[in-house]
Amino acid sequence: MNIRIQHLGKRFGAFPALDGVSLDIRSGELLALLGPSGSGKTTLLRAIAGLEQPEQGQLLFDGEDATNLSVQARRAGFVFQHYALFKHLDVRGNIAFGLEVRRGAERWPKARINARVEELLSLVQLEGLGGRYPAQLSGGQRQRVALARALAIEPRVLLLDEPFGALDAQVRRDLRRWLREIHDRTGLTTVFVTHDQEEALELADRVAILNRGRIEQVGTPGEVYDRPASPFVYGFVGEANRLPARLQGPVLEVAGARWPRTAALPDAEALEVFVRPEDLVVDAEGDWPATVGSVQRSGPRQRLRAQLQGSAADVEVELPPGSPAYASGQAIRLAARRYGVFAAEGG
Amino acid sequence: MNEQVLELPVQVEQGEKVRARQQVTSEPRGVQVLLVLGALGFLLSFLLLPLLLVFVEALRGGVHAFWVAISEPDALSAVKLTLLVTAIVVPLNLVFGVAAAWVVSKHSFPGKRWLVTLIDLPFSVSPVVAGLVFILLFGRDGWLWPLIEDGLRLHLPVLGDTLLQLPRIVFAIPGIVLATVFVTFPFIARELMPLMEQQGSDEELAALTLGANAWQMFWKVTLPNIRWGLLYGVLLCSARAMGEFGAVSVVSGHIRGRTNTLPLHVEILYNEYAYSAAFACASLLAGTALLTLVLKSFLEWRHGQSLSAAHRH
Amino acid sequence: MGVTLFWLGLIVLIPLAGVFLKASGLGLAGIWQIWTEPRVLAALRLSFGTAFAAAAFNTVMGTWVAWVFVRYSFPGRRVFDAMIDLPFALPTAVAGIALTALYGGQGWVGQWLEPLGLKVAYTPLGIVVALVFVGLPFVVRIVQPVLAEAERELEEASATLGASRLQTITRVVVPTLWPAMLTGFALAFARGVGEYGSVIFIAGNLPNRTEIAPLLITIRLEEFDYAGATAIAGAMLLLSFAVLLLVNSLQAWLQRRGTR
Repeated sequence: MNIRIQHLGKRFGAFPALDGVSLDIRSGELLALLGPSGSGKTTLLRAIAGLEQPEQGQLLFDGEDATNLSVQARRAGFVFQHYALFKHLDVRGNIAFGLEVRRGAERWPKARINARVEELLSLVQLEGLGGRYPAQLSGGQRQRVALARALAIEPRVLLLDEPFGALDAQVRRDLRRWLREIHDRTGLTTVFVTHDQEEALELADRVAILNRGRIEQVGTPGEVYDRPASPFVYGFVGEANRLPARLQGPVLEVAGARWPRTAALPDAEALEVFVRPEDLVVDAEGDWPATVGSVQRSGPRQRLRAQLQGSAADVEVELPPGSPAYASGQAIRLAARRYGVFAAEGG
Repeated sequence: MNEQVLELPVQVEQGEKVRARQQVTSEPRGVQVLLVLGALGFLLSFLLLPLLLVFVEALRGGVHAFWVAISEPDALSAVKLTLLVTAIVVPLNLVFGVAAAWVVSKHSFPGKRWLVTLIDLPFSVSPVVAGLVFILLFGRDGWLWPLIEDGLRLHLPVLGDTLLQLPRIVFAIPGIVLATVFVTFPFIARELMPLMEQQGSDEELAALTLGANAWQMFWKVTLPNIRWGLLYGVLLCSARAMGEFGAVSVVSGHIRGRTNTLPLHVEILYNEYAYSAAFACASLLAGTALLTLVLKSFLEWRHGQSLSAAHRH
Repeated sequence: MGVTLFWLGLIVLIPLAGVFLKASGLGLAGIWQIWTEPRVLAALRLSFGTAFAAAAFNTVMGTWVAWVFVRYSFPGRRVFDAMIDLPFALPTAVAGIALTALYGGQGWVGQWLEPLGLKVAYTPLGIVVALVFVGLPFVVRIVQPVLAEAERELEEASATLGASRLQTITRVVVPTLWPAMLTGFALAFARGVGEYGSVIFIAGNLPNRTEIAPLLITIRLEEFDYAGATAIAGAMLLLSFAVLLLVNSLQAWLQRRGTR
């Protein structure tokens, strides 16, 4: 099922959680909603599920207006950050819940429900634990039950709210891989919320980056990393050095270097140039003379903190493995292999 | 992943408002209103009406009749007795309630759960049974009757020949005091136990390491921490002590003017069909009940953080 | 520690031991005879029956009241909330005469009910009404905090799985409340069985019909039949103990299944 979100708006009191959000979610894709806390990503997810009522905008499921559809009717499987398992029911009872509450023609015979539960137990690799109660399971196991429970109702879309946030690092990594496998197996449209960019980039087909209730960019992990559409994205996904720059006639002056002005540059007085640490190279003919400040080695990586001569700014440089070692105080020249230019915020 | 081109059935105007709908996890407005009205109606009719009736009936004969009823000698001595009993019971239960709560919450020992259950016992025993027990102990033919009737001659090392004799207990004031102590004992202890357990022993231990002795630690650390819980417990204990009926009724002998507490006096008046007078005296008790409720709410509202979790609203 | 034990011993243990020792003076056969007297049986049946009915009613109404106070806001909520504790604070004798006046033939409520054929005062129904008054706060105050802590996410999860609001309440919310409701029931029941002051005025106290067990005990005491009084008290204690044990086991069973 594909989902079209149009100009969704939602305020909590005076706080705009969603500010004119529009997004197309393609059928069968695994989409990540990435952003810092307060960016509106969870509100958006909950709005898709029907747990939040937007004040403006429209939601379309396969072209049909679902904005006023009740939560129950949407058949959107939801997995909560803290699992929200029913403690008084065992694993089987939890998974079968969505099927047991169906009434009338929709209701499945008992045998079919049981078969489905067994099928899901083996899908999430919890065979044999059907009789346990949530209190007797580990965090990772509980999350898998939550997922199985959401899948049991044959949802049209699967929504996960920071599904691995409450787990420790190793379990998180394992479950990430496993979620991707499940997605590939079921082909279900899946949307998950995370504030962890590594998780989003590793897992998703596409990433939608939110900030302050607005979508900053939507694209594949590669697009979002390599061609960030805004300063926020540049800084949030991966790291970025920010260098002040000015347009002076035919020239773009960047921290002492002078670049030719092109038509592609934004038309503003004050600009900023964003360069990732790994996009800064030590080049004898580089634009920026600099002095090495501190050197950090961790394993094969080397990171420099250097002070540019032409500006008060300190920059972080990530050197590729195999680079010669540098020492503090050493004079070098840096060049930018790749960069983005944006209008400076706030002036 | 198929790219689908969507045809929008309708052009959505930016900012178009959607019909407001209720939250997912609550009932339809109509149901809510019905539930609230039902609950309030139930409370008003079952709880408030009786209270209202007490005051209305008390003043039915007019203010003068009210005054006569409560200043009549037997009524006055009933009031005095009630206050006297309360004044004895509350401090006693205070001391031992604090001790019990302190023992239970700051220590662990085998049989601790039994101790806790025992402290709860007066709550689950009928007040009549409580009174019965005291009669069995101290009444005629009771276990300890000989101690009362004849006393016990003892040869004590320092004091020499002494007579240990208990005063009359049943059908006398000591009996009323004892019965009331039994029935109201748990109030203070139960109030303090969860509170002291919540607070833990860290502060006390810190005080000890700083050189305080046990008594100082108690006065300067433990007590201040529990003072609001203590006040709360004292409040409940007093209210119950003043109103205790069943246990006292069994033990007191209903001797008018001598062993009648105010609740017993109310009963006597009612059984003699002196309804107005009965309600007049009852209204005094109802008034203290209201006062108790007000003070209780105030404590919960103002100092809710310092009370055990059960009382925070 | 020693102080506490001494106090407890004096106040609680010794008296209770006395009850059973006295009764045992009769011998088991004697006790059984007293227990099976028609009047005694009627009194025990009445006390336990009315206490059960009132506690059951209170469990339903108390949960209803707790729900309304936790989930909704309305003008005067704080005041009404404080009022719920009234039966705790009001002396039982005062409650007793007030309820009797209220539901008696000429009473504010009684005058409407009696023409309809519903006689409350001087019948077992009156006893139930009095016990409802006395036991309500027990249920409300136990259920309220549990309800307040209930996670709304569970209800949201239930809705996303397709359950209607009613289904969510019956399948998800109420099961989490069971232990608290049972505890409230048990406390209200225990209180109701032993209740004296609120009941003796409205009951009518006709032997074999509207005479509660505690009253029968006091009657026996007035006749100086200490053994008889003790036997009845023993029966009350044993039966209450059995009921509380049952409730406790129910709760332990629920606990084992992982419900907090």
